[in-house]
Amino acid sequence: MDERRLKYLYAVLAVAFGLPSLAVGGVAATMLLLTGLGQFGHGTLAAVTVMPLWGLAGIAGCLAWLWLSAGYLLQGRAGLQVHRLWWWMLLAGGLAAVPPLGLALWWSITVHAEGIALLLLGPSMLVPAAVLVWIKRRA
Amino acid sequence: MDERLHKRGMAIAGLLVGLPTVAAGGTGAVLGLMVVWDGKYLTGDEHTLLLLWSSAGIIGLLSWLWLSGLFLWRGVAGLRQSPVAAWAGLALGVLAALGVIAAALYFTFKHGEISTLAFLGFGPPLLVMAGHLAWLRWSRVASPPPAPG
Repeated sequence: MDERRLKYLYAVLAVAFGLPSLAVGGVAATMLLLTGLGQFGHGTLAAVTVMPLWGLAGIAGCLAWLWLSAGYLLQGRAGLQVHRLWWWMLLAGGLAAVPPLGLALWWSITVHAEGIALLLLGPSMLVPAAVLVWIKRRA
Repeated sequence: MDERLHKRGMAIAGLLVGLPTVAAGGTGAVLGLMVVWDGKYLTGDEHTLLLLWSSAGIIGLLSWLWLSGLFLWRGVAGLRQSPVAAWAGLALGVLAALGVIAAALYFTFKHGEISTLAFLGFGPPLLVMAGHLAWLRWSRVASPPPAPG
C-alpha cells in the first residue's frame, strides 16, 4: 500500500478506535491505580498488588501509544525507530486491555448486547496498536 | 534538542491539554460575549472590560491554534517566518489568561471557596504551551532535523 495512504488510514483508525479508549481507558486506569494505592494497609494482598500494577500498565500503554502514534503521523516510519522501552510499554498496555476485552465479549454474548460498550475501556485501542506493530514489522 | 522531539511532545500535549483548554476557555469567552450582548447584569465599565477580556481570550485561543498548527506542519522555520499578527494575538491571549488567574485567586481567597480554583482550567494551561512556542521561536535550542538522504 502507498505510504501516504497508509498514514491517512492510520490517522482514521487512531481517531475512531484509539481516542475513545484513550479517554475512557486512561481515566479508568488512573482510578484503578489510585484506588489500589489507597488500599495500602487495609486491603487484601491481591488488591494492593494487582490493582496498582494493572492501572500502571494501562497508563504506560496509553503513553506509549500516544508517543508512537505522534511519531508515526509526524515523521512516517522513521518515527517508529524509538527506544525499545516504548514498545514494551505498549505491550504492557495491550496485556492490560485483555481482561476488559474478555469481559466485553462474555457480557455481550451471555447478558446483553450493551456489554460491547466495555470495549471502550481499552480494548479498542488494540486496533491502532496492532497496526503500529504491523507497520514496524513490515520494514 | 532535536526539533522532532518537540513536535511529538507538542502534538501529545496539545491533544491532552491544549484542546480541552481551548474548548473550556472558548466556552467561557463566548459566554462572556453573550453576557455583554445581553447587557442586563452589567453596570458602568463592566461592559467594556468584559468585552475586551472575552475578545482577547478568543483571539488568543485562535492564535494558539494557528501557531501550533504552523509548528507541527513546518517546524521552527515556519515559526520564524510566521506573521507578527499571530504573536500579537497570542500575547493578547496571555493577558486574558493572566486575568483568569487573577480572578480565580481573588474569588478563592476573598470568598474562601476552593471550588473557584476550577476556573484555572479555563485558559491558564495554555500559558505553558504558549511559552513553549515562544521559546522555540526565539531561542536556538531546537535544531532543524538532518537533511533526508
